[in-house]
Amino acid sequence: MKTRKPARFEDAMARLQEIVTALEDGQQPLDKGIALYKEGAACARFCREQLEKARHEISVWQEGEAVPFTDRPCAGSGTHAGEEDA
Amino acid sequence: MTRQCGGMAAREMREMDGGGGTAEEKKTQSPGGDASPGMEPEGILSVRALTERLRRTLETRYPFVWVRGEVSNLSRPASGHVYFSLKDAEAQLQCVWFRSRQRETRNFDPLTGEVFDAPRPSPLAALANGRELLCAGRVSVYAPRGQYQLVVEFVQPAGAGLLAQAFEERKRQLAQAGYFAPGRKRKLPWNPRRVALLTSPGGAAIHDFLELAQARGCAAEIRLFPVSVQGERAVPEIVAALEESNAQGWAEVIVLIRGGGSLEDLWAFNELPVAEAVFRSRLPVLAGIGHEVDVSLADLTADQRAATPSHAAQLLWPLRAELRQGLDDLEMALGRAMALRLERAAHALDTLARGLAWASPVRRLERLGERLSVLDAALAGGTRRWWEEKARLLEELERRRRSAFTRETLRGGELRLDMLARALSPLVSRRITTAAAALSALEGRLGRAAADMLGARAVALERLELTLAARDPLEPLERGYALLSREDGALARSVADFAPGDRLRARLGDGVLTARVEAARASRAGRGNRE
Repeated sequence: MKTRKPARFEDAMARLQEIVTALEDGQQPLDKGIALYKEGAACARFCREQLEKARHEISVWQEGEAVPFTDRPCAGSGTHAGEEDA
Repeated sequence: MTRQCGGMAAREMREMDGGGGTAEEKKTQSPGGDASPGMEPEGILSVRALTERLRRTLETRYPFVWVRGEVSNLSRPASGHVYFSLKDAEAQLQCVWFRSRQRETRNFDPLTGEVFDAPRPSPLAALANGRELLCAGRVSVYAPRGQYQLVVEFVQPAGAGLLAQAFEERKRQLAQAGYFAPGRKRKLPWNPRRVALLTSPGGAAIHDFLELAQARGCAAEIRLFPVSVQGERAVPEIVAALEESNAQGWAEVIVLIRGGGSLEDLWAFNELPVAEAVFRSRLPVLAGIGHEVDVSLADLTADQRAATPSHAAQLLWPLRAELRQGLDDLEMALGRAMALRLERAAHALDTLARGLAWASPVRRLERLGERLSVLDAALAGGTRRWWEEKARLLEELERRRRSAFTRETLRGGELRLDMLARALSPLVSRRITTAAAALSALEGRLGRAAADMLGARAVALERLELTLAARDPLEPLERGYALLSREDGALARSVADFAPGDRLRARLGDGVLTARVEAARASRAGRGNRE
């Protein structure tokens, strides 16, 4: 059985959950179980990588295109002095 | 300067009037009263008289009213009195706020009667051109300029009360239109990867939102649509950004946030176009406007409302640590399940191995050997028991034989035999006599029968001898017939018995010829030719 590579964290988590359930059920032959385990371990590794390198990417939509949002001024500047938030 | 003088004059006039106004009016109205200089005949009013009547009418009719409008032409002369106009799109009202009345609004709300714990700053501070104000007072007439005006008693910024009123009104409308129906609320995507963020790029909201977002979710793309969140440009910009993000369809969810502020600051989010744009949005909208206590129409219309911008981030993404924990749990469960699975397999293998060992030829031989020895033992035991049984039986028979053939029993048997012999002998002799008589009778009959039979036979024999003599085969030889026989002595009956060259014997009445066959030809009648 070939190991599928889920593209999304959620899919990988869901697949991992599925594999754990299937293994706990223990109905499949051992070689299939081992293949499942390998796939599950790959899913877990993938998820872990995703979490490790998780950084939100922030862009600004300006004049019809998304440009990187570099400047992140904080509250109290300019026209939005009225805002205050906990 | 003019206004100031006018104001002074008005105040003085009003103060001078006191009760006098009535007296003067009586005079004016009484037909026989002193006619003022320049007074016209009855039915015709002087300007002053008319103005007085109007003033009286107005003051009676509007002794105390609330008026709302935008401040303009504000003037604050040194006297401390304040002059301004209240206006709206279609009309203008002159107002005067005398200094003596200006401090009374500090400790309580004249509109609601609410008493403030701490004195509020004088509404004077709130007075500025362009500001919406709520003024209370009586309507009067300023005679020197011939204009009516509001003599202000209380001043209050129009904001709070009226905005709240407008808010409630709109809220009712939108609720009726189904904007807040729970049935149309969509579920936000869990852990979204593409988020359209609608807020001011410089506000506290984006800061708080991004701060919390850092530790949450997987790597997401956040596309900021910069909009003003207050002021004139706010509504069109927010609407445009909502439409743009929907048109793009790129995001999984739209997040509309703004930090805290006064009701007026947040007012853009209560404007109908914003609520309508949120209502129209194809993408689910998460709104977090102001503080927890602030609820805007945009909040109510959105698919989900966050109490604050920070809360919006919390609602949007799960804590990364929790994701990690969930992953840990699953990973451990995976390990456990696999270990269990292997353990089970090992156990099964063990069982099979034991089964196999049990079924192996060596074990089979051992088992058969065991079985053989058991059977062997059983056989030995059985044989022994059989012999014992037979021996016992023999012994029993021997014992019985011995007990049966004692001297006494033999003697008893002898006596019985004698007795039987004695009983038997007369019977036997009688039978013998009878049998002898029968025998001699039969002997007599036999002798006679034999003699008869011999006589008959002799006669028959004689007849037969005669017949036989007549049939002697040699007798015709005397008359010329011959008997042919083959060399071996067998009588010949057919030409087929001979082949040319064969020897034959012919017996004639007086001897035998030996001849040789020249030819053999069968006659039609089947008779052979004789050579």
